[in-house]
Amino acid sequence: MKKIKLALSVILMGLSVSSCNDFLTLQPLNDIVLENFWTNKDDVESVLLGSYASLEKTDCLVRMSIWGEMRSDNITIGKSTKDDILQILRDNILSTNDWTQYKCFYEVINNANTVMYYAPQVAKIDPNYTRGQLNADLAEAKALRALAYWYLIRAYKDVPFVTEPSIDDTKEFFLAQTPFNDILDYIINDLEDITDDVKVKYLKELENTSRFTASAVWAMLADMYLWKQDWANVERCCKKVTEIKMDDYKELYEKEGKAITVSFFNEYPLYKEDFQSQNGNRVGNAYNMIFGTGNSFEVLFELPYDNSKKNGFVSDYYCPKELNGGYLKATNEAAKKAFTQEYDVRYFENIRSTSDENYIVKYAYEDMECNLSEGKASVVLSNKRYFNNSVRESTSPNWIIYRYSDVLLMQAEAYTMWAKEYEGTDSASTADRTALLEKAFTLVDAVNKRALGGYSAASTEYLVASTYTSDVEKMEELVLDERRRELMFEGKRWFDLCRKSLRDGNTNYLWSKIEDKFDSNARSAVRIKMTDLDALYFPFNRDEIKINPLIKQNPVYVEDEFIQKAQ
Amino acid sequence: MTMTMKNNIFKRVACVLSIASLPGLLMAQKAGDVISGVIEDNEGPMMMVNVTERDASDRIVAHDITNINGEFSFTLHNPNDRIQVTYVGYETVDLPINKLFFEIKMKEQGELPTVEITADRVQETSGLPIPLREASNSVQTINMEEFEGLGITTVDEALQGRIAGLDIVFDSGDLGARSTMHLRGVATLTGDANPLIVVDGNIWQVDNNLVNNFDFTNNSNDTEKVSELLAINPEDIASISVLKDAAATAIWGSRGTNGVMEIRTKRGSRGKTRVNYSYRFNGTWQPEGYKLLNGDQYTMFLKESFFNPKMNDIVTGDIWEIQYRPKEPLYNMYNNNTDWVDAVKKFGMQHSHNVSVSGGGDKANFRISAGFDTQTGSVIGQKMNRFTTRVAFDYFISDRIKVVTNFAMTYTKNKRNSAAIGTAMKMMPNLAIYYEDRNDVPTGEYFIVPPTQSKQLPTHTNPLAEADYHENYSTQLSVQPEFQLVYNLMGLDNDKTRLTYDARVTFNVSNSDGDEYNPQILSRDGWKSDGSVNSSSHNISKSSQITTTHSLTFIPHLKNRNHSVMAMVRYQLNTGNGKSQNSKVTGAPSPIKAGSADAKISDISTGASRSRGVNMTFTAHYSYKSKYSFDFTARTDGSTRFGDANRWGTFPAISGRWNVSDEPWFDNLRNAGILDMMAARISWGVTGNAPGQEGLFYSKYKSGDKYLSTGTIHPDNIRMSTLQWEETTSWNLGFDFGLWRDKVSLNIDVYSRLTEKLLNGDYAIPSSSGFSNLAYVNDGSMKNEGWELNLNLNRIYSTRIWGKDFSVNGNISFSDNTNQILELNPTILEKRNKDFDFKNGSYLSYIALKNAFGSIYGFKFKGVYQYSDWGGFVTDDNGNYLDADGNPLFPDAYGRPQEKEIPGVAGSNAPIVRDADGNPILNQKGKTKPVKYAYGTTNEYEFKGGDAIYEDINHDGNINELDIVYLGSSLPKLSGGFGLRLSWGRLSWNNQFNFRWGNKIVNGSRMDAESMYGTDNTSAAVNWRWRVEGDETVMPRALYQYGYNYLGSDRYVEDGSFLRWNYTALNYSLDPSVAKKLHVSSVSFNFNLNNVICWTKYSGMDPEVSAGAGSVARDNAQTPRSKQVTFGVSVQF
Repeated sequence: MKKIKLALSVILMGLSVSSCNDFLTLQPLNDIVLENFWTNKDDVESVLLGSYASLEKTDCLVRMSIWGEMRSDNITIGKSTKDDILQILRDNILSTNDWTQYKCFYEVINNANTVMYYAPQVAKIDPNYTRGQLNADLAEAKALRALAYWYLIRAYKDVPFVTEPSIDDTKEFFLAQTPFNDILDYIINDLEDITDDVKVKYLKELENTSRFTASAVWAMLADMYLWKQDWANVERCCKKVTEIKMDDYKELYEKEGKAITVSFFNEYPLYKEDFQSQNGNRVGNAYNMIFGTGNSFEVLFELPYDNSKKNGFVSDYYCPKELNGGYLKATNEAAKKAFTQEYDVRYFENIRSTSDENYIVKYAYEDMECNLSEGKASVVLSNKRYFNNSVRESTSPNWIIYRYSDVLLMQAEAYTMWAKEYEGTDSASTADRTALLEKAFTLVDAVNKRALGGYSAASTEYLVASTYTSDVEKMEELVLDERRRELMFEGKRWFDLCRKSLRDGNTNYLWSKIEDKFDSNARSAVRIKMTDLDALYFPFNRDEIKINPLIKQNPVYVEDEFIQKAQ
Repeated sequence: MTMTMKNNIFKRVACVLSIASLPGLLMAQKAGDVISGVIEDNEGPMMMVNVTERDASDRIVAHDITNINGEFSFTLHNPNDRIQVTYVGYETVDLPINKLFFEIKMKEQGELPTVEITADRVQETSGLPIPLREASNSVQTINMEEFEGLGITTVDEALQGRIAGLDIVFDSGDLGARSTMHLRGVATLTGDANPLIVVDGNIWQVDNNLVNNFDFTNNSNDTEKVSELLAINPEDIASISVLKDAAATAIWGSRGTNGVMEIRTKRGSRGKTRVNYSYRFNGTWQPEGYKLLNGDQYTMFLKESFFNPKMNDIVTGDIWEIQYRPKEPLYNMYNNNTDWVDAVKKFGMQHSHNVSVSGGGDKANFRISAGFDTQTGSVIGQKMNRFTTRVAFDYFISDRIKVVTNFAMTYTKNKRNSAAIGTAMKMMPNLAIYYEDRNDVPTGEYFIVPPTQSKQLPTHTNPLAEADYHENYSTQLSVQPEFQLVYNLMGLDNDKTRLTYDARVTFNVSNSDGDEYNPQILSRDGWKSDGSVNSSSHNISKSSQITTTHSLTFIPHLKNRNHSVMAMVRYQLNTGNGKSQNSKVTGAPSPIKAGSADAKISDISTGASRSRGVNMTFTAHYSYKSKYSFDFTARTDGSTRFGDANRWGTFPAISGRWNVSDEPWFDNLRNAGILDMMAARISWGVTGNAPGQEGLFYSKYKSGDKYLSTGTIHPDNIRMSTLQWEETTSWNLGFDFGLWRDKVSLNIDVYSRLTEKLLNGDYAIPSSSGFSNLAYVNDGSMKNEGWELNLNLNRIYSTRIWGKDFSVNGNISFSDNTNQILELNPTILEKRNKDFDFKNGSYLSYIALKNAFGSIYGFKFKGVYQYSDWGGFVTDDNGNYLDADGNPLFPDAYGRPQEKEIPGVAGSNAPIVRDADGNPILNQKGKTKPVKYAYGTTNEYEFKGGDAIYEDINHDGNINELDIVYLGSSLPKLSGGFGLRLSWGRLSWNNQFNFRWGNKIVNGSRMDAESMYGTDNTSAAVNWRWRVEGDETVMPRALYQYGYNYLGSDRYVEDGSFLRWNYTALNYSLDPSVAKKLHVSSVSFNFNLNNVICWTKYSGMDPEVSAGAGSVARDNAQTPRSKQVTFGVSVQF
């Protein structure tokens, strides 16, 4: 029996050498696990930058253009366009179209939510993680989340709204949509909360344009208030941006002195287009600074790309190195009607017209210079002006999300729409209206003047204030046209047209603009669909609806669901 | 025993004298005394005889071996010990030590008297030695003696059709490829559904999770990895048991969910050392496949194929290769009639040598075996060498302590070339194998199609050049050392209460590496191409697992012998880890093949993983008078694959058996002379299944793209904190019968398995979560039901023919299984049931709840439209029917006007819309409407003459997904096998058949061979294709990349029933007296044919096609199962 006891005790010892549960706790060798993460401020920083990195992925980048511009009057079918893009350009968007998937934006949101969830916990552990730094990090995360939702609601109207990170499978993933306005209010609130916390300047120069700064947050807020038709707040936010830009200007002036190429147009600091080159007096400076070099004075927020991280959109969709066109090209309307002023250098910055093609060159040129004085082209711009450009070796331009002239034009739009509210014909109303329209004109004119390149002949083409300050409708159209010219191919035009349509309560203006894009036999079908304001938005992807029965398909696309099972 | 008598006598006298002179002769011996003696037999003193002193527990404490004079001596340890003298071939002498000098006379072992062994045969599959007649679970065992002399090369080959309920399907005939095995259907939606393979109680399985980072470019790796399991040499196998129900597999816990195949290997046994050598020659060859087009037929087919879609010659004109233009520089290379398939086939040969040495004595038994195989495939460029060795050694330290060690090693080197037949079937038959000079004389240099070849034509690499120059080696080395200690703590025999402690450590080490080299010579684009020139890749993976097991078995000796009880507890712990590395370089200078060469690294990756597991098992057996038996097993599994909350799963099983024939009243039945034995078994049990992935319950973070040149990190998954074990509850009801004095034994089993909390992988969730899916989710339930019948005929007929014993033995097994999903989350179901994609060749895959799996849905094929234009009738203003010439038409028997044919131009069989009665539907203008495919979608197509006719089930004039109907089931109604063994004297003739009945197969390879859609060579059947208006045929026209002539339809759904004569084997062993003259103890010869004949209506290569869970059986086989002839000789010394 002694032996038995001995043997049994040996076995029991074997059993209790380590607790079984410890033995079975096996951390993966190839991954970092939550249990070992979120211990210091660097962890917060790396996930925060991870949210930016996910925003920067080609998936998001292409969608910014699809949702913001491809359906507009700027862009049409280019060379060997893939079917799914083709259908979008034809405005035949089915729920089976891959580009109606929106997961990449929710990845940004989830990453940002994760930062917001864990950063305060890290602050408790890491003594080096200051309150100020925590708040700044939270502010950036909120701004990123707001931006992602901002894109989503403009593209889909009502979307599922998530503010908690997806950590484990106990979370409720099946959510119904939250209405557009509720989300908008929420993110406006978020942004208003962080305006004091978010950094005005970062340590590294590059970060000032590639991470959220106060100016970028104000710009985003202005954009949101503009959709909310809250004109006073648009004005407030835009003015904040201008204040910051004035400070930036001073700083830049101290650094560069006389060599500075930022100048004042109607008191607003913007890059000058004209510059001295080897070839004499040329224009193109603003383009080169903003779109060529990047990280410029005028940019409030942009996604940085370089040779190690290529911009997956511009080279495929706009123009590759050879400048022979990508999946997209400019519409004839954009090429021939949008630029009404002869010396508008933005035409050359945006489009390269050959006899039968209008290639999109914005972002594709690394730098360009143009001699406006040579030749005299008609409004239908031939391509004969002396023109010099260089193309990027590998196309990796930064992608701009907000820049200063965008803000100025938002402000102008707000003033214009504000003026519309003074409907009365009495003198007080008229005076108020005129005052607002004059403010609006000054802003539009600033942007416009800069584009005319400072070339002496161009001054005859300057906008005439009186044409617009007396007529709200004309002013509104001018603002929209100027926005189109200034921000062409930057993923803004369709949103502008949507905003206008929502304001009007109909799509007449929008239709009048995009109508020519469609060939005659498709036109009436698109027109019928377009009468519905819901047609401004995209359908939810079929898979999303299949997975989540709580998602209600955009009613405009419900019928398509039924008929179109193929593809 | 050759020594001089004189010397011998002298010594003996000396000894006697010395003893006599000792005082105190009767005094008790004490420790330290020297014990000595002489051993002799009838012929005199014996040398090399073992003399040992043994203590009470039979442990050896002192030892000596007799010298040339038969003398020994040793120092006594304990006077209570015994002295034991042993010598091979002599009876053991065991005496108490009551004197200092022993004179022992050894007796030669005579012919052993016949001993009636009354002990029951035992079944040890549950870890307890349960008498076979008390076994209450469902296990089928086959002893390897049944296969001796069969010339089988792998275990699965031998088992096919033998085990009721085990479905073995050979998917490929490539070297080293293995079969798919499903026991009682598939009860899981995720992971491997093959049964667990256990060798001598050691799970012989490389944990997939440990090596899953491996990314071979060649996907045959997976099958190869598993085939390694069965690389165990059939010569080493003693028996194979297949554990079927939950009660039987319960001790294997979660790993035994798919059933267990338990292999026991041979061990040494006491007796003379036996040496056995066997040699086997195995010849294999490829059966005749499809007849393919020759060069001339092929060019004709291509010309039509390019012409038909647009009805013009523009495309064809550009393709000079099919134009017979002698002025073209490579004309000679494109004007041939090459039979590529014939060129890549060959007669494959396998030589196997096996040596085994076994024997044992009192203290130790051993068996050592080694086998060497060298094999070339039935297709060029395949070669495999395999070396296996196995050492089994049992050492009895005492009658209480036994030490067992096993060591097994398998080394395989395989040169693969799996694509050759497939490529050969696609090669253009007008192409030359070698460059030819002006006079069409081959130069011996392989012809590789140049980059200038017309882009429409196939660009497959010359399979002969591929076999010669493409190097693709894989080597595998696996080693399984085991060490076991068995300690009897209490009684030593059946009359005492026994308690046995058993400790065991097993290692499973596996290393594999693969080398692949694609030389520039095979690249049609030369150095210009995308950098894939001279690419060499190198993969290494290694994994090791250690398992320790402690078991304690308690068998009390009860006073009342009517009751018998035994119980066991077992504690097992395993840990494993794996590593893999994969690198690929391209563009190295030509002669350099090493993956480490200084070239462009195009791919490099590494992986590492770990796994651990703990389990505890309790199993107990109770039996009353051996008439009523009950078993209970419970196993608790702990897995690293679950989080804290659900880590442990306990899986119980209960079973019972009633030996009906032991009841007194049964004697009446027995006396009737038919039924001798009858037993009923019932079992219930639960088994669990864990997901196939480690670390799921961790929230993982991965590094992502850089932002602003800074590294970033993002959450990578949603952790699975609620994931649970997938649980299968099974019932099994079985009956065993012995009939006609046990000449016939019959087992019938009926079972039902319900799997709940089904593990569904990649469960899609709304992307608003930031992720697209959860790794796993428990959802739904699934049911498997079926029955099995197994019949053994033991000497069912015997007589004497020409003085020799003649007997007939046989076996029959049948089984049937149905599998259906009872419930599943609608989202998962909808995700699995994808929309019809409108593409050629695809069948709608559809799982319906509560319907059996494997249903095939598709269109109904109705032949080929004879004409593009309808030659029928028109109606005039009065509603009268007129033909195209304006002549009136008269109604046919059905009251319809007869449709007229204008030969070569138009006819009734044209693609026009008809109503349900078959009458053409006319529009207001009296015109017919064309039949369209997928109207209103981007796949829209208007049918023309020569196109396939699909039945318009709903008569809407549009062939679309609404015309898809049920075409049959992939699952057989019945499957099984039967065997017949005739033996006459020393000659035996063994035949085994297996069959399946009532299943349908999608013949994907015929579909490919008859699609006429691309430019690959196709089946010669396309010579019957529709060519001009009016052709009556069932083979549609050739259309290059156009049309819908091979939609998934019943045209390719064939009856998969078959009866295969698996093998026929003749075995003859020489008369021992003859053998003795040859100075060996036995010699036997065998000759057999494998895959002899397959009777089937199926037109494909091989009707053996397996259907996975939820998919249809589709045969895409390129390499059919080869036919084999084997000749073997086995010699025992």
